[in-house]
Amino acid sequence: MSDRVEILLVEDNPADAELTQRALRRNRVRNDIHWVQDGAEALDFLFSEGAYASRAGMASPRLVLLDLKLPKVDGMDVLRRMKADAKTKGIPVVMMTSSQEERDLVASYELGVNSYVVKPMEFEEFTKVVGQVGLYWDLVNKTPT
Amino acid sequence: MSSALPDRPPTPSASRIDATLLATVLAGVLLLGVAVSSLVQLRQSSDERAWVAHTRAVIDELTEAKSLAKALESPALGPVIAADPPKLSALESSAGALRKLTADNPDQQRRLDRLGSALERLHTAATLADATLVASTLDEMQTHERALLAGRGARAKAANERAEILVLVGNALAFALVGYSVWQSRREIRARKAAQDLADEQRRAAEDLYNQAPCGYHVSRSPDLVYDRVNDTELAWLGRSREELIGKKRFFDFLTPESKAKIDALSMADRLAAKGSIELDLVRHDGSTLTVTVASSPARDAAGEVTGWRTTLFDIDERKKSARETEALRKELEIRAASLEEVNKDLESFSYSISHDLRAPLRAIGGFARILEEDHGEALGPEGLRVLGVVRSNTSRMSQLVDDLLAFSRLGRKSVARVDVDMKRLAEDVVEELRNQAGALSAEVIVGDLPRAHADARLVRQVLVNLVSNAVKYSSGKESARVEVTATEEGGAAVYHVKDNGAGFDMQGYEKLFGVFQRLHRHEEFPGTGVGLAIAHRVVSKHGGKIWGEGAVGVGAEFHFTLPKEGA
Repeated sequence: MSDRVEILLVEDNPADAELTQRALRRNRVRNDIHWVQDGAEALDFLFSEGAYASRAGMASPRLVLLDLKLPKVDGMDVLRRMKADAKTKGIPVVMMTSSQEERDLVASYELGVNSYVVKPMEFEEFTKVVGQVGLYWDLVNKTPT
Repeated sequence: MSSALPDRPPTPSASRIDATLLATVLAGVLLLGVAVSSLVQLRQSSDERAWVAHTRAVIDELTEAKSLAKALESPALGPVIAADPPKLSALESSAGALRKLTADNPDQQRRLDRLGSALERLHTAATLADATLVASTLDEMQTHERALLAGRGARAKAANERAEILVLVGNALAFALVGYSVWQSRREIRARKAAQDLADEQRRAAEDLYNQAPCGYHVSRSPDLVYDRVNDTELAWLGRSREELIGKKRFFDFLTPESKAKIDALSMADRLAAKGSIELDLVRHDGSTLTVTVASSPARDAAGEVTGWRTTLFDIDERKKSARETEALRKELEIRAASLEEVNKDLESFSYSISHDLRAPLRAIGGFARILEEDHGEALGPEGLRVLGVVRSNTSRMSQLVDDLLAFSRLGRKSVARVDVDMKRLAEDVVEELRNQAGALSAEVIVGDLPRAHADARLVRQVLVNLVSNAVKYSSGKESARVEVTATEEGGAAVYHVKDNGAGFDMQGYEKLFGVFQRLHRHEEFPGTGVGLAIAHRVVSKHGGKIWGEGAVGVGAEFHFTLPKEGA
């Protein structure tokens, strides 16, 4: 794992995680994707705690792909914590949801999510959407450091 | 007849009575007049007759005197008679009698004076002149009396005749009057009878009304409040006969103890004011109870004193029973509706979560099958790739099915939010969206004038999307493919039509048309899961409308649906 992490992927389903990473790579998005499998680990990573204490002082990821249903700490809670902290507030977050209803649910919280992706079932669509997201953020976004 | 009761007979007016009286009085007066005048005439007649008799007596006397004086005129016998004092005396006494008889007649008296003087002179010297004077005077007198007789006789006759006529007239009048009276009184009797009959009929009708009324009526007598009058309905309710009640029992005797207590607790004023709102329980003859409401009002005599109470009873047993039944039904309905809703909710959440949970593994299968193809396709070889292709296409199909199932179940959970929808605008939007999604539509789509509907815009949109995309999809084979979205009005409702000239369908399979996942075409011909029409059917049904269609293979198909009109 390189020190510089561009994208934090928070996804509990390994198949989905693998497909996502594959889709991102195929669309020539940067390789430095870090994958965590639950909300607690995601928070540890973001706040340089627990197993990631060594990351203290390092730059935050430029993009977080956040799944909704996560063990230990739920996706919404991770989002809330990110938005509540000055250090992590500015990190762009893309919610990965499985359905329109989930999308609506997230929107109702008005927590300032930057983008949504409804995880489609057709791989083509999936690729396209994730690819678009990855490309966009990678090329355009300049996070204030 | 316009009213329930027979009409009242016309009563004789006051003026008519007066006329009859007047006529009677007039007739009476006339009769009296006739009687009086005929009496007068008769009296007159007898008077005249008396005079006639008198006159005859005079004439007789005169005749005698004349016979005595007959010879006086003869020159030969004259002086003889004159010289015969008895003869003269006889004449003188006759003259004296005549003088008495004609005392009322001055003319005759004068003549008699002459006669007397002549007779006196004859006493002394019998002259022819005096003798002749006597005879002529007697003649004169006789003529005079004869004339009087004739006159008097005629007058008597006339008076008689008049009397006769008057009697006749009087009788006729009396007869006529009697006849008229008889006729009048018969008429009166008939009229009276008719009035009586009518009154009887009215009374019977009123009695019927009273007795057959759907509520109970009774009158109770002051001050003990026993039954004075009761109608059949109340008797039936109580299960008693009239003889048992009238003068013997009181209404209060039939109340249950609780009802008695209820009534006793109220003052008289309260009881009167309550009119129909107090519920009381009666005990019937067979022991069962009947619930009634009571309304009473006092009956007063001419002086204003209360003589009794008029009471109306309403049987509210039926009302109460049906209210209880309705309440029970309502409760049952509530319970059922609640449990139905719960079942529905369970079902929906079940199908939702299943569909939802199925998505993740399907994603994985599809995705990894693709990886296999992309990264290891060469190693698989053509047959391997073909097999893999089957895996992938079926996965894809299953995903579609799951999506559709999800959409269908979500629809069932939704409640319908109705607004006035501009259907033409909506249809045009749908066509535009379909065009954008597909890049270009393989058919020409025409949207006509569509009346506004009162419906859930989002749901109806789905219907249009499904029908129009179907129409376009099934027209893809044809050259000049044409889809028309129109509407007509039938029987006050708006009917929308989506018509295409595409592949059509066999009407034999009509039953399956709106079934979930039922398709009338092979997947290779036209892709789709067959849930579009099922969804359309569900939405239209939720609005209380109808959806149907017809098709001919190779010619085309047309689908129709109804929705409530705007403002409905």
